[in-house]
Amino acid sequence: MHGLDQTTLGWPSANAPLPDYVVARAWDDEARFRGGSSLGRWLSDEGTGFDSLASMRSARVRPNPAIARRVPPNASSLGKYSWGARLRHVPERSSEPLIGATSGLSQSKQVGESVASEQVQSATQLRLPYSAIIQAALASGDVTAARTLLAVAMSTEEPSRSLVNLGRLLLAPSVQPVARQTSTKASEMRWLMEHAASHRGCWVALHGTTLLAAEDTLAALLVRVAQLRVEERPLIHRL
Amino acid sequence: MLTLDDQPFSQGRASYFDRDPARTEQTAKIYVQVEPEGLHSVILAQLDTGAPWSILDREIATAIGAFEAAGEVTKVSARSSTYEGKLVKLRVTLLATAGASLDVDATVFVSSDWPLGTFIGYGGFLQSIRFAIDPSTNGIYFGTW
Repeated sequence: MHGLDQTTLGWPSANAPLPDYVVARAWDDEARFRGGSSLGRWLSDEGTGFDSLASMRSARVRPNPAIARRVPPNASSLGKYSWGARLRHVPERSSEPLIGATSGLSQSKQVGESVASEQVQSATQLRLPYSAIIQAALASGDVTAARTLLAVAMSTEEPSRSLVNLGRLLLAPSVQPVARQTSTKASEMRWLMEHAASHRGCWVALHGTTLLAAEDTLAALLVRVAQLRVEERPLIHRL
Repeated sequence: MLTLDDQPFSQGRASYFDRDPARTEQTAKIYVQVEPEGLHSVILAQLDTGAPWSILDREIATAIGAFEAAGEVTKVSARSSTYEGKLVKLRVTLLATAGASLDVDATVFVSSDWPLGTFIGYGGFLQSIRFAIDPSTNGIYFGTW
């Protein structure tokens, strides 16, 4: 299942500019959009409003870009009917796999993440790329769902560049031991304990019990420290 | 260094501090020495296994250009507030006082609204590290596998 089904989604004609697209999350009764704008009410193709989350979940919701465009940017009347996560421009043809009705959902269930499963169901209805749904989950702070969906996406199709980039952020990081040591900073900590009150609000740089610099801002402190050309990395701290 | 079942468990050791002189908190915490890439200085970061991500102090994030790095928008809730920011990749060195330090290709949350200092969290950092705490000596042992 590749490419957007324009008939189902009700996109404008091929020659018309594609509008921003809304990635919807049926489990949110309120959400903010990336970029600070919001849509107010979310409507179906038929212009139907939803009076409860339950009806949204049961409805076969399709985005209507024409309606979405009419809503003024930065409107803040989200209300209980509104749902969504972020504005996104979806090209006519996507190089990414679209969420399938069978493979993604069944694998998500195997993972056992009910929230992610619900997202996959929503994505299936809207036929969105995996990366869009993962980004939407991240934008709403739903890290568990984002990771689960990423695993599903990675196991279903050859990963696109955007999925690889998401993987770099969400998967376990690489770690490399390096032959480098630092001092315990016990002297620096002792100085901090003794002088915290007299330097409250300042950034300080210390080497042992020597105060290298104290400034109101970190930027100013780093300039001072760079001028001193100290060999060992100083401890810097805001008091 | 520590061993587990006769196998190496850790490669580095460091002393941690259990309080921040700048804060008046009543409970002990764990502050470790780290160096974010590009800062050329050592900072103290609070170890917090409950944090979804590592989080950089906003002035430090500004100083090393983390706000300009490519990343993904997300938000983090802490202490009854929600902070919007983004996740970026950043090399952070967990510094050892004995043995080897660890260079972590960390995922870090940065937000211009974040007021709570620097944290080392589980996601994108600790999830790739073995570590053990020795409260009797304020020692932390860490390594890879």
